[in-house]
Amino acid sequence: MLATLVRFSINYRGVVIAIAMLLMIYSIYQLSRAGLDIFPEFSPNLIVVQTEAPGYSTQQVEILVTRPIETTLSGLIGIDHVRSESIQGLSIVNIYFEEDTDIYRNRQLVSERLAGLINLLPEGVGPAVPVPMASSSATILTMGVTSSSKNMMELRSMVDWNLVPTILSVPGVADVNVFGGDIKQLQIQLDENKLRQYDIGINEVADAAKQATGIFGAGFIENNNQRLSLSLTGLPEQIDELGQVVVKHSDGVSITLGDVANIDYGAEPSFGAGSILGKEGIVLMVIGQYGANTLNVSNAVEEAIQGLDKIFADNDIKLHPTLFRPANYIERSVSSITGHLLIGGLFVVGVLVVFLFNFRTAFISVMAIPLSLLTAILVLLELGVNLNIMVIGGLAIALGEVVDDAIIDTENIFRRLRQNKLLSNPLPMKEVVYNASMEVRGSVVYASFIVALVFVPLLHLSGITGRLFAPLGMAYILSIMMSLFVALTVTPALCYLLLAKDKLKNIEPPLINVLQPYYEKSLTLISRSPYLVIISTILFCLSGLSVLPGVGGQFIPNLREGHYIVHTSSVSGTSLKESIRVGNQLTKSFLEIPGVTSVSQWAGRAERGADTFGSHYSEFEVDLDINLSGSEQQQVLDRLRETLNNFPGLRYEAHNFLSERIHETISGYTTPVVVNIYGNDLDALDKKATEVAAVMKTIDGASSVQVQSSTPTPLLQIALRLDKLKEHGLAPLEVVDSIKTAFEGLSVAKYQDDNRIFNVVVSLAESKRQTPSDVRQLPIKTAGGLLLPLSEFADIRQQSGRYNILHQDGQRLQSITSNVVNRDIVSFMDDLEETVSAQVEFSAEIYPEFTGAAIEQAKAKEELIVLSSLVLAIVMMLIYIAIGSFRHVLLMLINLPFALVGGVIAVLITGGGLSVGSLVGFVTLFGITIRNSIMLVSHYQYLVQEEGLPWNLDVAIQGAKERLPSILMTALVTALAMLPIAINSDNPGREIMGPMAAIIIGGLASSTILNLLIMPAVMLKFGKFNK
Amino acid sequence: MMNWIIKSFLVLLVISLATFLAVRTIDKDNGLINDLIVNESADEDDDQEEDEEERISIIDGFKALALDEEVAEASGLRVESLKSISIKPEFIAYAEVLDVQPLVSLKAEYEDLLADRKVLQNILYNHNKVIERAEALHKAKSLSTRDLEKSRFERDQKASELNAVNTRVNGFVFKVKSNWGNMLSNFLLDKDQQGEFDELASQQKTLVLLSLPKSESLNYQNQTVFVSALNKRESAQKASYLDQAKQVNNPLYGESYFYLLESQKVRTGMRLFAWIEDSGNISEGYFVPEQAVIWYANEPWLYVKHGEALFIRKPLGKAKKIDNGWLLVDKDLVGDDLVVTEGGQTLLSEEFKWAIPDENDD
Repeated sequence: MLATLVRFSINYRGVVIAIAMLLMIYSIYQLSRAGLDIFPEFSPNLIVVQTEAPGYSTQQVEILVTRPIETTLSGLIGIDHVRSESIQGLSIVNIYFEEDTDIYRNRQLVSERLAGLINLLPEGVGPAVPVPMASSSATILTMGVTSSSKNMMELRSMVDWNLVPTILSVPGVADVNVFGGDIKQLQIQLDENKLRQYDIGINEVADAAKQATGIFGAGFIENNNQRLSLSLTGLPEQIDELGQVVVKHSDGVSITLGDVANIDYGAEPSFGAGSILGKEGIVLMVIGQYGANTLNVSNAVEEAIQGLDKIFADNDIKLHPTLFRPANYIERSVSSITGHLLIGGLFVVGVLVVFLFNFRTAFISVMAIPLSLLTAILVLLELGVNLNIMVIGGLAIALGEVVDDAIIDTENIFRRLRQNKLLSNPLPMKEVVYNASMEVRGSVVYASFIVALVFVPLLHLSGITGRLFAPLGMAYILSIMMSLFVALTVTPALCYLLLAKDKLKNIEPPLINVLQPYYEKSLTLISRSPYLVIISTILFCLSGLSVLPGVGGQFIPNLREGHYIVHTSSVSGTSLKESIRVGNQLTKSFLEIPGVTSVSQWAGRAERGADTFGSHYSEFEVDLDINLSGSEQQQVLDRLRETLNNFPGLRYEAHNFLSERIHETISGYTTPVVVNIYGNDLDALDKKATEVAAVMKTIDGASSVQVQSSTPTPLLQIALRLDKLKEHGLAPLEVVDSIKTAFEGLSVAKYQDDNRIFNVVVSLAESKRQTPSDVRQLPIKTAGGLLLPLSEFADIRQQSGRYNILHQDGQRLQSITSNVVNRDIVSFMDDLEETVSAQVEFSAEIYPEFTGAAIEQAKAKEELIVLSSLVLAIVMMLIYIAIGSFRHVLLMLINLPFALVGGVIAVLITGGGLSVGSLVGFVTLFGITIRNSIMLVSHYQYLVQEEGLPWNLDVAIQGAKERLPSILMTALVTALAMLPIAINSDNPGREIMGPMAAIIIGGLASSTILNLLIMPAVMLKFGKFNK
Repeated sequence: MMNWIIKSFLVLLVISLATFLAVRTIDKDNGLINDLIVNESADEDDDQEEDEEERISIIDGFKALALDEEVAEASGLRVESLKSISIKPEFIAYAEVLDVQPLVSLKAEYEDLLADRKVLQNILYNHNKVIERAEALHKAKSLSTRDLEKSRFERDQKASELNAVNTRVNGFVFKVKSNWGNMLSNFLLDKDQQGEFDELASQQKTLVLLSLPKSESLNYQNQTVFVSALNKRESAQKASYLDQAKQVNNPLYGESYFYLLESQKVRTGMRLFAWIEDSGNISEGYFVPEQAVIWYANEPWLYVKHGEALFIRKPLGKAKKIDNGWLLVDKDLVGDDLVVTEGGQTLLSEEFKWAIPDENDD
């Protein structure tokens, strides 16, 4: 089949080249239209259901909201597990589906089930809504608004009614989370003294307010001729009109809303607050849709809000458009990578010209590289894979093989054509090109499949690693396959077209001429003492590999995004005002750090967000000078951490944005050891958790043992006294309604102001909703008409409540986490299980589960090792099929540690640790090395079997000399192409690829030395080639 | 052939096994693959100091937090010395502007009764004169006994009528006094106090019914109070004590009193706020602003800065809640130290830092 393909390409070279050109042009066209992102979608197959339950306590939310939702959704096909968190006023249910299920179908199933939930939820709660599907990086843009003349209510109205709708209209925007500002509402602010003055209860005012205003339709009338719509007007529309609505009429006297309440615009009780550069403002976080392209959506949003410039200017509003712009990092990375790839490309051309000393040959090799990569990109785009840094990484590391494919073929055809010219009876050019191409074809095909196969385990990595690195593997494998296809078709066609009629001089390229004598001498020298060489090689490998365990590992290297995200958390119960005050102090300190250009803060949570953050929680966007280098960015991070360490009352996290997102995406606990305790009784769960934690601390190796979900939050408990209620003829819910109306606010109607709709709310004035004394003094009207303070009917005490209640698969959960130091995790887990079972008594209702990241890691590791071993075995089989000798397969394996040593040395020189990127670098290196070895061994076979030469030192040297140009060229071209990326890799765009490139360069250096110098000697001594 | 297959199978098996075991052995100790595959490495975590316990000590039974001055300054803590204040404690009650029309009607009714009595008194006087003349005539045998008895009967009838009117007048007085008290009754009944009544009737003065909460009473007899139609103490006007009221505008209120208000701005039926000086002496102490108060364990607390770097959390204890803050009577609680008026919650957060969850673990 291969032969047919090659022959077809030579015969129909014009067609093949034309198709190639067309493909190239089409690929460039598609590429120019394709968006670029940072990472592939790495978010899990997750649907978040959010339900607001205003006024309900944590436990009420859990029982009344979370549990019905969990029950409703249970049993859906494809659910992997369900986790939920209930906090005061909010329920969040996370439904994790199996990874291979369709996220849109899952969403449809969840929505259908949720539709039937409406009647199960208490009045005023919900609806339960699936949070918009966000892209993995989630934030597309963070912007803010401040004003020196507008108040926060005016500012928020402008944001809600102008800015947010504009942004939401941009395709690719899933949501806009707004933090800060005062949401305007028309408030009927009860004056408790006036209530007492007129003997009017809160509920009476609420009832009157419900009858006061609103927006209503009235239907229509219709007769034989006409239909007339009814329109209602005359309802109170102005504040003073609303004030005239009667609450009570007695003895000819009307007491109005205006008599008992102050009616004015006020702020809705807020969930969040914002601050920009230490000044009160509104922070907007633009959330990208699932699958949306960060760069495209960012640009579209920026374009859309340009239309609002005039509104901002007219209203004295300052827009801070880029408090955080992830697209900056993409642009910088792409610009950096593109620049370095261009430099690398020039190196490639230079090396090819110098080595081949023939422009046509160099041209053919050079053309094969972009053609292979562009067609790979085209296939990826057609498969719906978004271009991102990982895909580019895959393409970049495939460069070695792509270059090799182009060089091996061209160089061999070039050499055979030259040799053909020397023959007395030269063969037809077509035949020579075909034979030369077929001569290397078999080994090239096997080598390509071997290299591709090596990457298969990468495609099967589970979890976030898999989602992040699978596109890299896919891009790599596709590039290799495309390169192979180009080598089978376009390269022979171009060679015949351009080289057949070329005046080929039968001289070796000058550089090769210079190198070959030295190479021959070295080989002769080495071949004289093969054992010495082999022992030295083994010792060198062992010394190099011995340092490997000491090299630190990390998931991905520190990304230099020019931006940091800082989370701070105070003790639960801290107010938004205090969080913002603390934030402003921090902002002041942050801005003093050289390199920090802007700092914005949001505290609490957004109205529609899926977060369960309380008012004690803040997040800061710290944007840096765009020109800071990687090390300078690290210095800023160190200073940020130093500032935060010195600040009292805070726990914090400071990360770059993508690490932050990855951290947030990893589901479940990230500590190695977790003991989950399931049960129904929360207090019993707490008690058991404390017992287990105490036991866990006694186990050797346990560190940072923590009981989760026990964060206390202060609450003011109002315990109604039924005897008092009875005494005064009150029903419990009358009191509850009054309390709810006074402090939570009762939305009684909608109020229209132009095209804006606001809520009309009855509540106490904000100044009367501040202290426990305000609660105690709340007037409650008795059946006898007396207004008495709430403290008469209830015991009011400040207590410690639960901040949150967690569920796993519908069951209440309490977890104890621990790290393990200086001990094997498996034996620790065994020990833990045994000790806990012996010392802690569990009833039938409460039972433990021993799990944790360590268990998950162990599973993932086991899978990876099994898969890698399997792949390695298949690779060995393929090598065997390619070269037909077990002896040679085993001999080739010595190449691997040698290549590995070069990579390790590169890691040590560059001072970095190992990351998944480094792992990919090693895998690539493994491929290139095996490929070079196959090519050398198969060339020896060709010389012995096809050309009938005897297997001896001369043939070994001849074969090696003939392979010298292509091995050297491949190594040099790959290394030089990678060099600009590898140098100073701690900079934007090169953080992941840099270490890969360094490892590839290092490994290539060592494996090329081995391939060229040691392999021939080893083959000569231990190899066996039969005619 | 068979040999070849067995050989290849064995070689593959050995390679696979060797790889599997090698990777497992290498990885067992340092968990390199764990770090690479699944999670962030430890160095990504923010290594926060865990020495908060060392910063907390107990001084005189109170928890004290040691903070560097620089740290305290960077965190924006504001400390102030408390200001001494003296306040006259007051409580709020509610009053109603009474309609004086019933009083005017009563006055008219009273005048009618008096007029009736006067007429009857005159008739009786005349009857007595008639009887005197009739008795003289009867003695002179000029008048029959029958006619004399008839005159006497008519006189006794009028006397009875006068008695009835007198009874009605007494009843009226009793009724008025029972309903309106002595002072207002005097306005009505006493001609000497006609002027006061006229002031009420002409609305130069306003009659106000003050109702005290059940638990409160006037501090002393004739106590002056301040009233206002608005819930604003500063707009309140002095009202003069008149009398204890015999009636209340709400049966569930406590004591009630009549007060006179020299204001023409209030109208009949208006509900008024009344500020009444509470019993007890004028309170003196420190004013603790509301923002300095931290609620913890069902008690209000404040942080006191002691020395340069020590923040002590002290309970407000017997402090009295007043408008916009608290009156701290126990001056020794603070002494000469400064009080944290901004950032107290941050100090509480530092004190209870152990309770802040580590985000990494969820």
